[in-house]
Amino acid sequence: MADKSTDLVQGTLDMLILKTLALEAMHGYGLAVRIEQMSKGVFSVNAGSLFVALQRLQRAGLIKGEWKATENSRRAKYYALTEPGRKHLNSETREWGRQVAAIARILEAS
Amino acid sequence: MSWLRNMAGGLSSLFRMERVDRELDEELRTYLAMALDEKMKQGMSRRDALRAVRLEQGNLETTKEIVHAAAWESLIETSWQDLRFGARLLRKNPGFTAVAVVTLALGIGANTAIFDVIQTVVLQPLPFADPDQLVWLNGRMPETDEAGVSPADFLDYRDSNQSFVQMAGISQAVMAGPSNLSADKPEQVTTNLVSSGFFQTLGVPLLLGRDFQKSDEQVNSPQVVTLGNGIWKRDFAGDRNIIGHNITLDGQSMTVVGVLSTDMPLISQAQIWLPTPRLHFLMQLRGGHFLKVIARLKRGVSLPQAQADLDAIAHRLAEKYPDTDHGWSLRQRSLREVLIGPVRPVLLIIWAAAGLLLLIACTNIANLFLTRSLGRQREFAVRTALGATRSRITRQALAETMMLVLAGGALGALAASWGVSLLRMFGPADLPRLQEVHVNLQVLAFAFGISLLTGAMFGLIPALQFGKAGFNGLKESARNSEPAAHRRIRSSLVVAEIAVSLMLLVGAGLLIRSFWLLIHVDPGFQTQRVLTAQLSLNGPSYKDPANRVRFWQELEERVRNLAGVEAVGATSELPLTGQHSDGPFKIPGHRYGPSEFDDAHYRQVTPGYLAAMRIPLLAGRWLDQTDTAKSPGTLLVNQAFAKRFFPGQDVLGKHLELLGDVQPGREIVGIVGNISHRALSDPQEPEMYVAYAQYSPPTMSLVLRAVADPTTLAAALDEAVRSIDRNETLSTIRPLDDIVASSVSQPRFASLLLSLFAGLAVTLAAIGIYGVMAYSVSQRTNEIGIRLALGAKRSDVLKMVVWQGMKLATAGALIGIVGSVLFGHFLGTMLYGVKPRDPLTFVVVSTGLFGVSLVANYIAARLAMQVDPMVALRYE
Repeated sequence: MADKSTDLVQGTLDMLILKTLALEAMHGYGLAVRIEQMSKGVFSVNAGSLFVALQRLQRAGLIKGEWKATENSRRAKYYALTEPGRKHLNSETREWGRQVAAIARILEAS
Repeated sequence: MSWLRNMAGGLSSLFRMERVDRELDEELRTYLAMALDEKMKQGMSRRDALRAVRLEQGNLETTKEIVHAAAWESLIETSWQDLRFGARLLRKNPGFTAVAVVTLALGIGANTAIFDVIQTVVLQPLPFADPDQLVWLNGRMPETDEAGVSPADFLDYRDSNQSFVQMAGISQAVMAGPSNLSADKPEQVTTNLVSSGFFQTLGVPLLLGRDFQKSDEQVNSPQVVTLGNGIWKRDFAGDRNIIGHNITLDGQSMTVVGVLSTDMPLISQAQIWLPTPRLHFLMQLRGGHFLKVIARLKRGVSLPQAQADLDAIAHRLAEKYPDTDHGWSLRQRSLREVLIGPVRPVLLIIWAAAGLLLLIACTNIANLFLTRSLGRQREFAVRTALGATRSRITRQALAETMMLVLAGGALGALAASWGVSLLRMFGPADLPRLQEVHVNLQVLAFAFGISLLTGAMFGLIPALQFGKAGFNGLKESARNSEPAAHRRIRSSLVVAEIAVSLMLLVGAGLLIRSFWLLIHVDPGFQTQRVLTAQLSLNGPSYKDPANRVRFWQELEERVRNLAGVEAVGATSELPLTGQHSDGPFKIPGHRYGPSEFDDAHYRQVTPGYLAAMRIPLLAGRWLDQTDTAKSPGTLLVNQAFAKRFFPGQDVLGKHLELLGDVQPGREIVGIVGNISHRALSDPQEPEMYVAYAQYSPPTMSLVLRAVADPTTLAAALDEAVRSIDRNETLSTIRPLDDIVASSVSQPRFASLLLSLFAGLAVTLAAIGIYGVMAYSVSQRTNEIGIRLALGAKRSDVLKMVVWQGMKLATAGALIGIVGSVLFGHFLGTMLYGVKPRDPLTFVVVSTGLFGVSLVANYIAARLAMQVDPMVALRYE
């Protein structure tokens, strides 16, 4: 049941979810598929970790959920980014960029 | 602030548990359905798709569990589940639960009750303002440091010291007497004389009125009084306008100037307080040491500094008044030490015993749990295999023990509150502050605390033990074998239990033996069928000693003629009541230095007293009607006196000069037997008896020896007094047996409680041995079956099992004996006539404990005998 491909760095899944939801509101399964697609199969997400992350983000007020009908007329909970969520994503993205650049510099230096 | 939101989210989902559950369920279901759709869209059959989804995503329930467990509120939820599960298990094993809870309740209850007493008596500050600054001052001279302080010296110390904010003296009722609060029914009240500022020194506020001032002291007899709180409420109906009113004491009118906010049983039983009358001749003595002195240290002054200050004053006084003050100084101790110090060791020993009892209770329960945990190895293993984490299992085991412990603790607290009531009822009357003891929040917190500690001690063992066994528990063979480590723990627990029980038993045994010796001390008088009563003649008509003598002659005459009275007499000091006075004297012809003299117990008696007490006359004659105020001075001495002061000589006919005596000298006319006066355990000291007719103090105790039960004569006795003088009345009427019994109430209390604890300890230890042996026998069913099948005799098997148990008992007993020898000296000060290493006690106690373990072992072994070899073999 472990993630098939690369293990996600702690906290990274949260960012991927926020980024994905920044584009449009989505239900759980949609999120899983989208993350897998966007990462070109590098990350695959299982239901357990996904819903733990969703619960955590929702508790933190970064996303909110709403029950809606899907195109196949099922009922699903759609998650959308809140205003604090958008701010959080922006600051996290900047921070991420800085860290990646710093790590890259260290790796190149050796 | 996100933790706050998390908290809020958690709380709200905790209250909407079911809805949250349903939502998550539905969400996950949709998720899987979508995944399934997707696979089928890719061309898989429904069955293949379902299989693929399951492989990829895992079990729906597991996923739900993971999401659930990630949220903090699930901890509460699972704890609740654990508790319910634990409760179910406990309900299913009522025997186990009952034994465990009762054992715990005993241990916790005993500890809590004793802690309650310790807290009130020893730990709690004294009920005075800033009590740590209070000190107690004693007169000290080469012979004793327990003397009082003379009033004249007191004034010098009070006025010239630099170290104390305030110093005040108190005298036990120099002028006590019956009060005539209401004219028709006189009543004896206890009074105390105190110097000005006494209440302020102690920091006991007055409810109404004012403290005594120096001006109140400038009299020959007190003119003003302060009422204690109790008597004010009882006899004056709590009248708030009482200040300025007069009351009559001993026929003398006095003005009420104050009412105390509380009585002070720690310091004195006084109900009414009077100022020390400075102009009274007794109050001007430098040689009579009868004041007790309490002082409040200045802030920043240490005890040694204050002592140096007092010593300097003592030195000056000795130079100025060599006749009276040579060799005298003051000894200071903290008030707390004086009041509480004497009972502290007794209480601490009892507490230690209660602690050991709790230890045994814990050991027993740990054993019970270990036994049961073995049966649960499989359960734990199965649950682990099904995905329970180790922390979850540990938590569950803890929840179960905590339930048990809290039940035990609650029952224990209840037991403690009963225990405290019993202690208050039956505890020694001379234990200070005993009546203040009550179960309070602190004590309940203590009970709760030791319950948790207890639970932690034994609750974790099974769970931790399981951690080692792990999945092995699932193997079939695991069912019948106990891990060796387990067995060792169980065996050592039993050994420890026996060792601790033995120590408790030795302690109890020593105390019982010491108490037995104590109450069988021959006090030198016969206590059965004797009634005592006190009477003070303080009214105006008794100013003349001749009237007092006449009153007593008439009273004795009337009482002697009552039906059922065998003998009657009176004394100024009853034995074993704390009443005590010393008579300084000189033997003519002996050389004495300045202010040097000899000293012996000294009391006045009417002619009938010694015979009524059955104190034997050994030589010479009794004091009798011929010894009057006008006849030559005479006295009786006891054997110890003769031995000490006239070794090897004929004492009869020798003369003594009593200091301050009206007679120039007294002839020893008789020798009587020794008695235990101060305490049964005290060595019998030199004593002198003088005829009441020749020296007649106002307060005497009547002694009446009856033909049958003396208490039935109390009313007739009182009537006899009233028929002579309607204004006089007897007080503190009690049988002599009672006086003797209450003089040993502390040792009785200690030996009783320790015996109780030791008895419980032995019972628990026996249960422990039985439990361990019964279990190990059941473990060895197979082995025993094989032995029997191969032809072993039943008696051999019985011997084998019993021997195995007795090995543990022996080891425990040996350790216990070593422990008792090592710690025995703590009991030393509480023992009378027995050494802490008394061989008899050790032998009796060890034999007894061995007997008990043998019985427990035997019963367990009998179980082994019921094994049918064929059944035992087939069982495998």
